[in-house]
Amino acid sequence: MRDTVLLADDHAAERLVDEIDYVERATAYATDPWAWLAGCVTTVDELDGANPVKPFPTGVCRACARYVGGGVSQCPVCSGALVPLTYLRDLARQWATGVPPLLLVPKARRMRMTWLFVALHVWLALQRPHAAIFFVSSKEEKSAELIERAHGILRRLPPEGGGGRLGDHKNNPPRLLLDNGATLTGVAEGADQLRQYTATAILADEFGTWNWPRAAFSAMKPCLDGGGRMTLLSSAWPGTWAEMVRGEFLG
Amino acid sequence: MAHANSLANLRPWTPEDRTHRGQPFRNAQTVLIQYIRHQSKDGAEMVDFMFRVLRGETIKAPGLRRKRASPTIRDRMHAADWLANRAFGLPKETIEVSDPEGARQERLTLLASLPSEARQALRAILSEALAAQALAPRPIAPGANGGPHA
Repeated sequence: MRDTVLLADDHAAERLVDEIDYVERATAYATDPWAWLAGCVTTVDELDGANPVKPFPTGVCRACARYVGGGVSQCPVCSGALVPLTYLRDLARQWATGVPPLLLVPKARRMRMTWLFVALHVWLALQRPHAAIFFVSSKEEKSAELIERAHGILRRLPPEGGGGRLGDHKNNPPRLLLDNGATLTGVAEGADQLRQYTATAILADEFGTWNWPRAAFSAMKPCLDGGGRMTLLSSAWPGTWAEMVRGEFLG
Repeated sequence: MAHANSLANLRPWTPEDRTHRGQPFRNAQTVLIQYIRHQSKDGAEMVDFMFRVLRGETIKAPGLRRKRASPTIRDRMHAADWLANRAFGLPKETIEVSDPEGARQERLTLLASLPSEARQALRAILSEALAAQALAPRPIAPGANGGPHA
């Protein structure tokens, strides 16, 4: 029988400190979606060919008007002071409370609103087992694009932020399945699209441009009545969307 | 006078008892070891044989048809292993105590179940201990400076 020499673990204490920090970060990410967005989420900027994947923006440089993320305190390009994107932070924290369950978000382009709410729904899926989350757009191809964004976010997450928890990715219909049984599904607009499902949360993108927004909203409304939440995003658009934003909608 | 079965009748064995009481008890294994050592000149004959195998010399083999046998490479390697083990000791097998992922997950689950204040207190204690360890002189490892191996 051969002699055996066991080498003691010289770095156990350092490792335990790292693990405590890991748990602290994971706990913060699980309870505060803004901390999770700032610390874990990355977005894709199609206009930047050299470095398209960027941390989710948490501030904007006062000098060069560049979006900056990753929790840094000054612009990495010009070292200018950052103005925090408080509108994103306030929206994220408000949305996380689930009150009110219906959130209308009028937006302009390049405000990172779609990224914000796609990421927030990913966060919800990570935190709530068996959540059924739907991304609804005017066409299934556009919903699939939102699912792809969610897929990219999930793939690039660090372990403490939920990395490695993506279970399955299907294309027809576009759907992501997480290890806790939560699903993210992309569907097209239409009164019958969500009728057979019970949704935990619905994200309706560019709701104002839909062909039948009133009928679609009526079909989605049972989600709210059952305790779910609905987020409607859209640029300015006349018709049902304008009525809803002005508080004149009675649907 | 003591009873015939009394322990008081027992006395130590003396060489004079050999004629009528026979040999005292001897452990058969000890006897065998002594015999082997004696016959092999304290193992020198076995070592010589292994050296002849190691060097590939022809060995007399009275039981075989050819009466002589030449060791193969396998035999010579076995002889080298046998001799090296006795000359230098069996090689030490080093097993590093790794940190399996299961144990890490268990620790993370345990840490997550603690309140944040308890985690921070534990972290402070560990940081303090690590800072003290960094300042303290490191002990000399066994086996350093030509000393005996651990």
